[in-house]
Amino acid sequence: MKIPCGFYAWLEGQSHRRVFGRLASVVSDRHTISCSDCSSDREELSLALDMLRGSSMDFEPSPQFDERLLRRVQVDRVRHSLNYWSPAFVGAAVAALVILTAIQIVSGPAEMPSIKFGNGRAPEARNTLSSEASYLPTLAPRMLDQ
Amino acid sequence: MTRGRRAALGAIFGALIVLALHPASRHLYLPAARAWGPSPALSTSKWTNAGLLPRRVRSLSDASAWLSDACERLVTKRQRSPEEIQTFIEIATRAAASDPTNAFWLQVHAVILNASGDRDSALALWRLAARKAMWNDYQSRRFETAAEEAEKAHGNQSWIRAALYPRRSTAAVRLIEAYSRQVLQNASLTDPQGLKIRYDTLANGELIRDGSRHIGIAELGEAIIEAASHPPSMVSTPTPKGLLLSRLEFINSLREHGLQVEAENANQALLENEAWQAMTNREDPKSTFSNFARIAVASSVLPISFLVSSIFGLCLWCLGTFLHRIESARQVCRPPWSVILGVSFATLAYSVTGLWIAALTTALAFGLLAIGPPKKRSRPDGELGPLYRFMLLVITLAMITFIAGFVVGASTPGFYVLESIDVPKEYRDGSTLYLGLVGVCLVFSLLLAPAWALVHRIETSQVLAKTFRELGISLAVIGLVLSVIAGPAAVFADLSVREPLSQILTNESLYYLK
Repeated sequence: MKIPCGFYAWLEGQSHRRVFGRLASVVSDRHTISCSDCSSDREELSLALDMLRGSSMDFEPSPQFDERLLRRVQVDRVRHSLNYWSPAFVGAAVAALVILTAIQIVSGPAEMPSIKFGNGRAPEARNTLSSEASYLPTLAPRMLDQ
Repeated sequence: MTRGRRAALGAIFGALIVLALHPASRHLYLPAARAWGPSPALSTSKWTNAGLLPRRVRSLSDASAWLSDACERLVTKRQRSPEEIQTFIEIATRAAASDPTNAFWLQVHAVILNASGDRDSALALWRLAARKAMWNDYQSRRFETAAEEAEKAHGNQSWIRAALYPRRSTAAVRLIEAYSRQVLQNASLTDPQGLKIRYDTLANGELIRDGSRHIGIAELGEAIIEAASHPPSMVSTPTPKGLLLSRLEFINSLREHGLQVEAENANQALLENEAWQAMTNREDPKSTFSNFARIAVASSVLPISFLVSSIFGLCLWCLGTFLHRIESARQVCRPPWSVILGVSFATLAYSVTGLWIAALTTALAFGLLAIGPPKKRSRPDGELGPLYRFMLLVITLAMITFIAGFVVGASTPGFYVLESIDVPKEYRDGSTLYLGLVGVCLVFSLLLAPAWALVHRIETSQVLAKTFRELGISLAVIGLVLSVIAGPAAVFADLSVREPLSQILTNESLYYLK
């Protein structure tokens, strides 16, 4: 049974697909034996495709093609990893802020860093006790009399 | 891993990084992990009455250290050469010359002279000391210096003061008090000379009491003042009536012999002594110190101890994962390997704990691993039920407690402080009791495997691998969470006890008066 040329053209389109690939090629081969027009069309198409393949093989990839490709793969991998761990980073930032605030509140201003201007010292009071007296307070009333 | 779990994991590590880097909390983590056993900063300090003395006496603190050591030797009746006695006397003489208002040097000098047999010179120095203006044994200053040196090694932590507080030596004042009783034995209440010696003794006691920076020393000062009014015939435990009568008799006797000023001063000193006794008898310094010291040790060690639990959990998780993935590794759960392991671990348990029952339990637990279901499921269920999870939680909490106990006992703060607050030896100094208890917890986890394997018809080794993994994850997660929570809490607790402990160390009497 000879199939119509229109169906042959459709089959040629399907021949590169996986589902009908083998069946289509068998049927279209039989058609081209009996149809000279389709046979010449097929030869021309084959020549054109060969030419295209030949021309495409003439292209040389750019020197950094591999590096760029690898870099892009790595970037994609890191991006995916970052996306995966982004909740962890958010959690870490929030927890760090909370703990920092808690420690600052708990430890008080004594642990806070301070910016010193000038010599960084207040003038000493004139009537302060001697360093010995203020260093270790004693209950001895005689000490206060001195 | 779900999004929530990833966020929680990140939160834990973020918090830990902040805690490990912040100046207020960083000493609780990495430096604390290196602080085990005795600290060179405290054990080799010449300021802590640890038997190490400064080579040269260049300051009053140096002299104080030497004389404290001399008095400790006198109290313990250790052999001392005449050269040593001469050295101590020379130090006391030079210190008294450079600190002329301080009665301490003369009193110690008198005690040493008395111990070497020169009683007349000792009495003369004793009476001279009574005319001095103040009393200072310089121990508080030495402890402050020692604390500053230790802070350079361990950071500004309150346990350092708690470690120094029990180092205060009362040997000098105990010797002075004993010497005062000896002086009073020969001082009559009826002749002027005896009364003057008694008044000088009372003045010496008053100096000690007022200048003391420690309740124990203040109590010895009070005892000297009180004893000055007692007649030699008075029994050791007098009645209140007897005490009052002896005081009145002493004061009246001073007046009768024309010592009006001395009588007024003695009356005032005895009245003040009652106030002092009311304060020192009311307070319980040991209990107060113990409470502060416990908080100081816990706040310095608990964060790192929870972190150690977490690391132990990670090791257990790795072991469980290894058993789960490697089929050949699970052979150790079957005879004869389980028997060999059982005997080995039983021997280890006995050597660590010294308890045969612990060794027997360990051997039986490994032996029970040989028990398994006769028929196994082709597709076992991954979940082993709520009771299994509950058991794992109980074992996890017990293990965290025991690991924390071991770390606290073996740490530097625990090494110095726990003994002074009467913690038994079994619970401190790296005692293996806690390690044995951790081992018992692991043995319990071994017992879970055959029981659940029989019920769920799963291979015992698979349940064991799952148990180790689940237990490891629980330990790691709960340990990390507790370590993060304990960080800010420890900073707060440490700050809240730092000032009281500092005051108790440098001037205990003043702390209780506030």
